[in-house]
Amino acid sequence: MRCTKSLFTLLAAGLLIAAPLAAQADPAEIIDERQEFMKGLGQQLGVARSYVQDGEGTAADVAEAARTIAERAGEIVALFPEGTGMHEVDIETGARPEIWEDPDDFAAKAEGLSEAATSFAELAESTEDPAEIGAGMAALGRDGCGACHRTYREELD
Amino acid sequence: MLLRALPAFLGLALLVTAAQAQEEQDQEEQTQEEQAEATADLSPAEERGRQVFLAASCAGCHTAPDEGTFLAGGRAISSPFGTFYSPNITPHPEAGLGNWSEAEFARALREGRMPGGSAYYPAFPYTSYTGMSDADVSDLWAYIQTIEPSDQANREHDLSFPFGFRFLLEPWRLLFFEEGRFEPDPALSEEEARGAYLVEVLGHCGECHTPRNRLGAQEQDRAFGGTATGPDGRRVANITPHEDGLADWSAGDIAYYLETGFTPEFDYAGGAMVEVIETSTSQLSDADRQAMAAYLKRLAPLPRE
Ligand code: HEC
Ligand code: HEC
Ligand code: HEC
Repeated sequence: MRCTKSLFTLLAAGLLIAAPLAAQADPAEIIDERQEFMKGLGQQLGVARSYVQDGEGTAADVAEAARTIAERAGEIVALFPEGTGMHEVDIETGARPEIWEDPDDFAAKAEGLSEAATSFAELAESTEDPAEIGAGMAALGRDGCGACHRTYREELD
Repeated sequence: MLLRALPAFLGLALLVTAAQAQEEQDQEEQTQEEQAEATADLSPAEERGRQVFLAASCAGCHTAPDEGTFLAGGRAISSPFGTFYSPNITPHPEAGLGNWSEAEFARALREGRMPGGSAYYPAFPYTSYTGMSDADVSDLWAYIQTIEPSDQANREHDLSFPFGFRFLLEPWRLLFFEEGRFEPDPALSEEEARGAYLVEVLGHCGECHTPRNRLGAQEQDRAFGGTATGPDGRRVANITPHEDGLADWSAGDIAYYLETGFTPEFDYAGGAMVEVIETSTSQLSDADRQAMAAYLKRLAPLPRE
């Protein structure tokens, strides 16, 4: 029993590692994956908005969502392998060629999201005031998401 | 030569906006915001002028990136015709507008002419600002007087032949520039009319959101319908209440986007719109954002091109 369980864990871990590698081979998959990933970031922010606007959940939920964004920001760069930009593939993607022209800056923007989300988490751990949390969420959008989207993301149809 | 150069000229305003957006640096914007906020003790007229200034996003073009002096110009705006350098608009007597009269300032903004009479390039969006009310121009002028004067000298535009000749702008103006104050459609409510003024005149939203014809002029029958070939060849969203545009967005959703950049699906704004939100719409009053939203909901719904 124990053995089967750890075998299962091992397999699952193997799958987790293999999945991103496999995806790199196929632009359609990786593009789909990163678009879902981005939507996931948006959903975490939905937690904050529900709290601010509708009083749903707690400030602790908001902090947890922010920590999730901060951690996952580190995955962004790997979701943009070369050859998956908007003029290179016949798939709808808003990934601008600038991503591969200045990869260091793109990585810095991902790091910037992690930092902005960490500050936001700290804010939500120190106050329950919806107005303050609302302002913090706007700052996270501006410094985290907007700083990258302004240069590297183009609107889809 | 003159006629051959003309069509190329017409796309100018468009391309310039593109380059401007792309060169944006977060750093610089924060400084700009701080500087705009630092002017604490303003008279009522000056404070109203500051609101006009924010709604019209003058600072974005007139402050150089990387800690450039506020409104001292020198920002490079590149285009296929060469590079424009925005002028110093601080109230410095030699380097800026210190010796200008209010009438000269009004003429520049609304008629697109220098004190000496030559035409400005439409890189300076006077084609939209022409609708500004007398009161707003006057308040804006009062606010400009509160800016720290800078002696930074203007840099000449670096345009390739023959675009450096300002007289070439005259035929362009004859075809595409109609001077005159904004008059809202009488069918609009007071709030919608305020929104119309903010969207059409101060915010110059159509500079990006309205597609252009082959000659680079805005296609008014497709106003705000978005385009696949906007500034820098990038897509610009359709913001009319059509299903290809904002049909699913409530007025509240639009106002929230203009304040925070978040869409109803928690996407975040991208491209040139990020700068518009940061330097302009996020800094306006809730009432003004709601007015803009109310007006956008009243636009004729248009499908994508
Ligand atoms: C999209 C960029 C842009 C925006 C926005 C903009 N300007 Fe300018 N402005 C320019 C450029 C470029 C010039 C130079 C045009 C030329 O040389 O023909 C200019 C010229 C001027 C001049 C003439 C200065 C001189 O020395 O002749 C004034 C005054 C001015 N702008 C004020 C403003 C004010 C006030 C606002 C906001 C209401 C504003 N501008 C918004 C780009 C911009
Ligand atoms: C410098 C060019 C530019 C100007 C000026 C501009 N916009 Fe935008 N706008 C864009 C671009 C590009 C997008 C697409 C953003 C993206 O990629 O997410 C956009 C998106 C939008 C959206 C969201 C549409 C959607 O479906 O996501 C709204 C609403 C909007 N703009 C309103 C305005 C208003 C109101 C103004 C005037 C105050 C304005 N814009 C001025 C370039 C501009
Ligand atoms: C380091 C750069 C970067 C950061 C930071 C970033 N994004 Fe993105 N985002 C992108 C790029 C590039 C795309 C286009 C991906 C594509 O279409 O393949 C995108 C696309 C999206 C999409 C559209 C997905 C789809 O279905 O097409 C959403 C939603 C989104 N981002 C939300 C966010 C939110 C919310 C944040 C902040 C919490 C954020 N992003 C932070 C680069 C970034």
